[in-house]
This record gives sequence, C-alpha cells and structure tokens, in this order.
Amino acid sequence: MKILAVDDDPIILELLAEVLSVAGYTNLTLCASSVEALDIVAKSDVPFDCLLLDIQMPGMDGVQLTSAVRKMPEYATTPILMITAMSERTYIDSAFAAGASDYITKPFEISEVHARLRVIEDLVKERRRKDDRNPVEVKRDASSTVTQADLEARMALSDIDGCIEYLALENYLLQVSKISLFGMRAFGVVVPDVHRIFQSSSLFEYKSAITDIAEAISDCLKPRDFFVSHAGAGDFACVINGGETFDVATLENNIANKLREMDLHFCDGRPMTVTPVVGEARALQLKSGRGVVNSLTRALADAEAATKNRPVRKAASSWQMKNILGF
Amino acid sequence: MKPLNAEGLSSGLARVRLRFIDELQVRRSRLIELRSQLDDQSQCSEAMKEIGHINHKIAGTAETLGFPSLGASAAAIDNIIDKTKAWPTGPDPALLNQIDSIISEMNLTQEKGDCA
Repeated sequence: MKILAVDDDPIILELLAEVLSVAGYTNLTLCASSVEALDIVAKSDVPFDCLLLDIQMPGMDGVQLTSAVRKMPEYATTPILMITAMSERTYIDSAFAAGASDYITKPFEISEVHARLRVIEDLVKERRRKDDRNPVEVKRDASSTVTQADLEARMALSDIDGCIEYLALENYLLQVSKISLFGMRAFGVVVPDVHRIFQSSSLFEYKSAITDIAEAISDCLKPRDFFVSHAGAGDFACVINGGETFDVATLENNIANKLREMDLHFCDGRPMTVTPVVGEARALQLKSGRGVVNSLTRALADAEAATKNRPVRKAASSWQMKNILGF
Repeated sequence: MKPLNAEGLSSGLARVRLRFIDELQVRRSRLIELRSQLDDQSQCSEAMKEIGHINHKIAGTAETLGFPSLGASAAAIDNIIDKTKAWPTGPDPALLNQIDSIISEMNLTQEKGDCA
C-alpha cells in the first residue's frame, strides 16, 4: 500500500515511519507541509493508496489539504486518515466535511494506528479486486444499462455540501461518540421503488438521479449541521446536529418540492418521478461504539418501513414506456 | 499486513525517543526565549502562538514515546492557548506557571533520557 504522511513535526513523521514499517507498510513517503504534499501528489505517476494528514500545520492546514486533494479525480475516494492532536468537535466536523475518511487523535496508541490501517488496506484491496475482476466495469460507458451491482454500490457524492462516504459517516460517529452525541439525530431517506424506476435506465441516468436527490436532501437540511451518505440504491443515511425541532413531515415535503423544482427527466425526455420518504429521527445520545454505527442501519430500516405507509405515485418505468409507445 | 515485529518496534521506538529528547533540548531553549518575550505586550501574542505550537507538537508524541506526564502538561498549555484569541493584558499568571513548570519538566525528561 502506497502511503503519504504529512506532518510538520519531524518526530511524528519518524514515529509513523517506525510504527508503519513494523506492520509491513514500507512504501511510505513523508513530507512536512501541505504545499509539499500537493507537489508530491501532482508529480506521482501512481496515485497514493492512502493519505495520513495532520491538521494543524503552518500555511495550508490538513483540512484545506484534504479539500484540495479531494478535488483531484484520482483521489475522490482515496482513504484519508487524519492523525491530529485536535480532538475538539469543530475540528472533527470540518475534517470529515472536507472529505476525511477517518480520524485518530494524538497521542495515539500504536495498536490503534495499525487497526485503522488494516481496515484501510482491506478497503484498498477490495477496490483493487473489484477492478481486476471487472476490468470492463471500470471502463463502462455511462450510457450502459444500470446493473444490480450499480444499484447496490454506495456513491461518494463528495461535491455536494454535507455529503460524505458511508464509511466516513460511520467513522465520524465513532469519533464524535467519544466526546458527546448530545443533540444529534440519525434518520434515513429512502426512495421507494428504485429498482423499478431505474430498470433499463442508463448508469448515467441513475447516477444523475442519485446525485440530484442527495443535492435536494442537502439543500433542505441547510442551514443545520448535517452529514448525508448514500447507502446504495435510493437509500441515504443522514445525521443532524441540534435536531430537537426536526420535523420529518416538513423535511419530506421540502425534499419532494425541491425535486419537483429540479424537474428530473430521463435522457429520452420522460419525467422521472421520485418521491423520497423520510424515516423517524432517532436521538444518538447515550449510544457508544458499534451502537452508534448500528443507528444508521436502524434509521434506514425505519425509513424503509415508513415507505409502506406512504401513497406511492407510480411512474411508468422505461420498460413499460417502451411497451406503451410500441418500441 | 505482515505480523507485527515487536522487537523491531521496540528498537524503532527507542531511536525515535532519542530523537525526541534531542529535539526537546531545542524546543526547551526556544520556550525559554519565548517565555522572556511574554512581558512585552507587543511580542506577547506572537510568542504565545509559538509557545502553543511547540506544546502542541510535544503533546502529539510524548505519551506514545513513554512520557505521559510531559505530554499531559503540554496538552494542557496547548488547549488554553488554542482557546484564547487574544492576550490584551498579557497571559494569566496560572498559565505562566504552567509554562515555567513545563520548561523544568522538559529539563528533567532530558536528563532522564540522557541517563537511559
């Protein structure tokens, strides 16, 4: 695994080099500033598999570096692990909002660093295996028909305010649960009938729709502090801070209105009718460890259950439309 | 990931610990210099910022390298400085005591490290 570690403290860099090398991570590049890191990343022929970043550095800090790196297409989903002494909530929030995948506070336990890197290595290997298994999949044209695997895959959606990867959302909650989850709530947003709606649609149409729905959710949650993650198909896990006055019905209406304003269409001009359902918002306080992570799956299950109580306006699928129109 | 090489880790950490102690000498000298600037209102803010930065770095590694008490003292100073936006009337006497105390603690750590 090719790793880049960035920290302005030479002692930390030496410590990381020792800690990583005994665990077998020897393909390690060290640098002392964000500017140097950007230069190294830009000149690297083979992208790094993982970045380890400090937050507090002179000039461009680690959060700004994360944002800059995430804008590079080859680093859109690269695991970025913040290793920082900044343990306050505001730093954790801004790091994950910028695109951090995980967060370790200094002084760190060596075993903790090894454990997090093992998770990252598994993720990197899994992504490589997927690419090797389906070389065609990687080069697939956006116009190709959406597959079951496409529907199950979680999208990163990093260009949308508050949208972070699902695994990053889990890691965020694990980190924040060490401080306080007071006032935080989790809920799911589910688009019923996604498999039917996008049956025979192109990958481009499906991804565009998911991006638009995420954007609608994000717009409707502003100006609250929130994170949204795509959980596959039409499912979104959401976490808000200060959700005491949060009203599910209002949010659901607002999202529906926003999507109507967006006027979604398939590429052939047919209107795309998606009506997301918002599940009950559950308080996260008093949860810890895996309990807080499991809250996300429970929130999605609640939203899924809520779809049974909503009238679903059925739009004709592309397959049905082709039959109706006779081609 | 290959199985952990405990012996390798131990000797690697020992190397970094020595580097930390060498660096501690430099950091301590700089802290003494900065501490003397705190009485000058025109230099206080910048000096305090650098004191915070030095303590931030010590706090980040000291405990992992086997100096938990030094790490905790540095983290306490770093936290206070990080939360304080300005020093219109100079630093609080309690904070000055903490800075004096960590300068002594760094000296002790260094002496112990040199003997080890």
